[in-house]
Amino acid sequence: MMNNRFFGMTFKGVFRRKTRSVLTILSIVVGIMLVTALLMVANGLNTQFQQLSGGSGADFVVIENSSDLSASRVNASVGNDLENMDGISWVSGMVISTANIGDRPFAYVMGVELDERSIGQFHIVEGKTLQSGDAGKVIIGRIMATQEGLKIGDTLTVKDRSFEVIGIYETGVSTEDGGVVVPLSEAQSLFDLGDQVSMLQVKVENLDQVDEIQTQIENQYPQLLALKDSEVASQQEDLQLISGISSLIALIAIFVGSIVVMNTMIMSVMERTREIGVLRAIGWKRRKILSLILKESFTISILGGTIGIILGIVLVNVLNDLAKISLNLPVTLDLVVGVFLITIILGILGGFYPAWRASKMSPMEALSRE
Amino acid sequence: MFLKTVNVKKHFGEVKAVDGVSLEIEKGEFVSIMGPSGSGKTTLLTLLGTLDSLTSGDIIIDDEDLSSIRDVDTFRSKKIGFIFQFHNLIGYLTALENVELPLHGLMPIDKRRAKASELLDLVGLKNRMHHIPSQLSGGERQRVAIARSLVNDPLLVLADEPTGELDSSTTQEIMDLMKKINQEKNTTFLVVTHDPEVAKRTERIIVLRDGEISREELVKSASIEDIMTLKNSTLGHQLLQKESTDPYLEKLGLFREGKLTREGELLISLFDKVEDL
Ligand SMILES: Nc1ncnc2c1ncn2[C@@H]1O[C@H](COP(=O)(O)OP(=O)(O)OP(=O)(O)O)[C@@H](O)[C@H]1O
Ligand SMILES: [Mg+2]
Repeated sequence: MMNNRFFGMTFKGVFRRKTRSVLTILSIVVGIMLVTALLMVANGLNTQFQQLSGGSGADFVVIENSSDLSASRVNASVGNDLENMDGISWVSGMVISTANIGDRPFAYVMGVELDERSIGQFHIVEGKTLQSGDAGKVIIGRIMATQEGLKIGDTLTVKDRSFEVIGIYETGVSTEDGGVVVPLSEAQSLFDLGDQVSMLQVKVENLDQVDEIQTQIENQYPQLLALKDSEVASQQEDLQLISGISSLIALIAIFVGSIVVMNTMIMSVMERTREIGVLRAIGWKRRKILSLILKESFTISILGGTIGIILGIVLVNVLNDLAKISLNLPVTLDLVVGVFLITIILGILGGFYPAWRASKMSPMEALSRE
Repeated sequence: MFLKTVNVKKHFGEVKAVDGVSLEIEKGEFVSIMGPSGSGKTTLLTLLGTLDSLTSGDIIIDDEDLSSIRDVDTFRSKKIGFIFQFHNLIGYLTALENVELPLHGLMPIDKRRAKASELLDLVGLKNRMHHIPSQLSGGERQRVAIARSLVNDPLLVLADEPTGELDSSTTQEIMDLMKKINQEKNTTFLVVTHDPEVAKRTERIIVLRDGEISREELVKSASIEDIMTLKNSTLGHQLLQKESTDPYLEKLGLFREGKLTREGELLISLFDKVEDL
């Protein structure tokens, strides 16, 4: 076990100037809170896109080579052509868009082909699923049902058109569970798409050929992209922007945080010239002075970091609830470890210089000044 | 010899803070160092305490030549204890934690605690262990500082004006304490002081002047007050009258048959010299 008396000393050292230390910790809390929140959103959106081909078993999706998924348009004829292509097992068209449903301004509306494979991705937990010929009917996600208080048999309005709720599904992907599914043709008419779809889900016969077939499709249709789940996110400009911003903010947080910590620790070290001199005079080695000051800056950054992570998680969840976006925002180990790493880097950067200066102080200071 | 310095010098550029000090001090001696401000007392202590390096000369403590010691921090933490004029306790730590400080890294926590509280007990602060310095009186703080200087069982305690900030009765208490420790533990004490009352209670007084040991200064500093007291006493007045039939003065051998003796004359000349100093 670490000797806790020494940590006791660290704590007392940190809080000998209460207001200053609390303010320093607070500024780290704010920084780390923002970093946590942004990383969580970026992560959440990323996973969202990684689940596009969902439970259908598709190997990749084909979308338009445009800025983002909601603007993607693919002609139905491409789907037919692909279906006849060598090595492709099946192709399924899908419309993904958003519409105002109840309180939810950006609820997902998905148009899906009504064969077992495609509609089967949406596991029914209540009521029944859509079948061919089910015009004017809709199945809705579990989250949508709960939050909007909808039951089987209720009516729901999408873009001024009424739909009867016949089933409730659950996929585990929160945006999907927060949305609704209508037959593909209904979606196409709702969003004036003619016979276009947002994307095609594609299943190949032999997995070894996936890359080859993707390349072939992209060559044949330069306006299209064939992307595996993991590749979709990197194609989304909005997402990239959010990732970019969160990385930038993380960097700024490290930078500003280190400076704040450094400033506090330098002040602390200067004020304690005499104290450090005394410690040296009673036999403390430079190394020990170094670690004393480093421990203090670590304590500050880790306290701030821990509170910041917790508040960041709370913040994101509160906003998520308020905005009714129902993004799935899991608190992953990666995220926590990552943010903690940022905190530690901040502690080292901010603490090292003051600690080094302290360790250079002469024991003579103990006798000279008052 | 426990402590020996040979022609020790410490120059700061032009300033010859210590300029050729040779001393020998036995184990268990209680020595005071006096001298006017700027005479090099503190500097000499820093040299003996391995806080600073010599310009030239040699210091040998407990058979070790300081110049050949590589790890002076460890040497200091094992053999030397410091008491400073201003207690120099750490304000945000309790008395107990302050006393424990020199033992960090040397022994496990429970041993450190035991040792530190034993010393606080020794200096009579058993029931002040968990107070922080601002909750203690000046004398109590200095006792804590003494406890801290002794917690590593040093062979040599170097004290720089340990009573400089204390009133005379507290000064006497602190002196009693240091003398008690000196006797019980046979710890060697080197105490820098301006206070003749303190110096008087030590076994030997070393006087520095301009970085050197001064004999003349010794007489002046250590005895001046006593001599002046004597001079200003009734006895001194009678002596200066140069005529007295006081049987008591006869008994002291200062007068014989009403006339000043040689001893009496010597004493008067001593009065004059002291006056001149
Ligand atoms: N680090 C230093 N740099 C330059 N000069 C110094 C330094 N330390 C001490 N001196 C000078 O050395 C001389 C001796 O100083 P020192 O502090 O040893 O005197 P002191 O006898 O302890 O005086 P006091 O009774 O006032 O404490 C002084 O002239 C002082 O100005
Ligand atoms: Mg001095």
